[in-house]
Amino acid sequence: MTIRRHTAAVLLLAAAWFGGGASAADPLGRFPVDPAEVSVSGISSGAFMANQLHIAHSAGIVGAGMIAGGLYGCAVDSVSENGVLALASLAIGPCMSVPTLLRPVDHYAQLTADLAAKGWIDPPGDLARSRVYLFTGQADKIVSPKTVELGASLYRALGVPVAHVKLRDRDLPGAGAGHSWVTKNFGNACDANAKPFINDCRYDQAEDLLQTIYGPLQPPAAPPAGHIVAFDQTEFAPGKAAAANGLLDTGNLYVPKACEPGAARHCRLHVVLHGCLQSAEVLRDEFYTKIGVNEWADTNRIVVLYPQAHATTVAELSSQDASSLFNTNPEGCWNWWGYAGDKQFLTKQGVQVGAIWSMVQRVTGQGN
Amino acid sequence: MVEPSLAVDGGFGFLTDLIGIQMRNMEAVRQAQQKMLEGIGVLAKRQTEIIEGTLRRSVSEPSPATPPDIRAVVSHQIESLKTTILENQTNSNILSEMAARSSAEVANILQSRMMAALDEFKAALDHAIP
Repeated sequence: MTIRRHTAAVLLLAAAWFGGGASAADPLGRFPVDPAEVSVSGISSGAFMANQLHIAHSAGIVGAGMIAGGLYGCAVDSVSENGVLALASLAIGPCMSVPTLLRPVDHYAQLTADLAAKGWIDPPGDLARSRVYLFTGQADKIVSPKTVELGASLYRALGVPVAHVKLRDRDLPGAGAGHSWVTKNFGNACDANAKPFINDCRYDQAEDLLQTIYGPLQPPAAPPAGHIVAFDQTEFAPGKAAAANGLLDTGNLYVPKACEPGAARHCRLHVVLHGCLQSAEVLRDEFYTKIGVNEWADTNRIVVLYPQAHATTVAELSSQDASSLFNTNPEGCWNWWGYAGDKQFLTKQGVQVGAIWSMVQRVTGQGN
Repeated sequence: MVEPSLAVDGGFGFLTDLIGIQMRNMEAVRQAQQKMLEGIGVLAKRQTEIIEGTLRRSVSEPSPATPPDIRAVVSHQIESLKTTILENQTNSNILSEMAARSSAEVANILQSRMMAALDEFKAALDHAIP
């Protein structure tokens, strides 16, 4: 009887360890981070999400970096009383590959003002103090450089001073960068447009991005001396239904030694959002250890939050019906076209925007 | 032997249940029709926007200020053609997605009502035939 009970306990433990359902990671902890020093960046779908997070929570975010993406609301077709209607065809069409069908920048500025008037996002006036970095590679075959240029124009139209918007798009080796997070010494050839979407262009994008946001920084550490923490993301999803809402069970956090709990001085927090096909489900630890951010974070007292998206299937959705196919997320992208039935995906009430913001508040000690 | 007053009451009750089911069915059909009309309206609006956008872009196309170089003209025309093809494909995708979403909403309304109606009919039968 005892042996049988013992065997059952071992089996339960094994199921919890290997099963995809429950998260085995610890809850996200609090760190000595100044809530006034929070910033965000991302690549591709992560850039669109970084942009959404920044514009929705502009009162609480000091700067943002968008690499190969980020034009607020470009997949939105219309606004209704309970949210927006966005289309996947607008996302993959005008927003990514057919920029001639994008609307004038005034249209997106008006959309932002309308959403702010409804109280769904912070007033755009809060953006005025932001510092913004945008990057597009001239060899990018996935998201048109024109989308990123329009994203920069939108920031200026929303009141960010011209001097605070840095658009980097030229002077890289050869044909320029493909669709990628660009590094100084890791990844594919500079003009590649392929997995892992991390390219070696002899350009330290992490440095340029972080210095645009935070000003001059100390030289990077090589290798970084901090550590990676895995944390439970399910508590940040409604009803803990992470998979149904495009969130992986586990996220990651880079903690420099100087930012451990109990540190004497406050640190900063930078959120980094991967692109499609770049989550830990696909690249394991490659994205959150190889893009060069942790090296700069280490010597500049920056805690780095790496939330993780999940490739949601029809079977994982909370309900299956004739609309289910429109709500899946087969490539594990961040939600910037309203999948999983989220009509508020680009506002503070959006499931993923809300989840990431709750993570930020937890780390900074502002939330529970 | 069923007591006659009970049979009459049961009969009226069953009839009332059936009428209720039919009323809810008709309400679902009305909602589905409304969704279809809304979908058609949205599609028509989108098509108008597409046409307006195409006209606007064709009118705003800058004419060459310098005497035309034949290679530049051909190259420009090829690029314009490629852009037009991509735009047409994208517009077609947008209209298809809108139509598919509208159809899915209609299907959801009708299917969920049909499921509910079957359950209600079963319950009404259980109630009418003790």
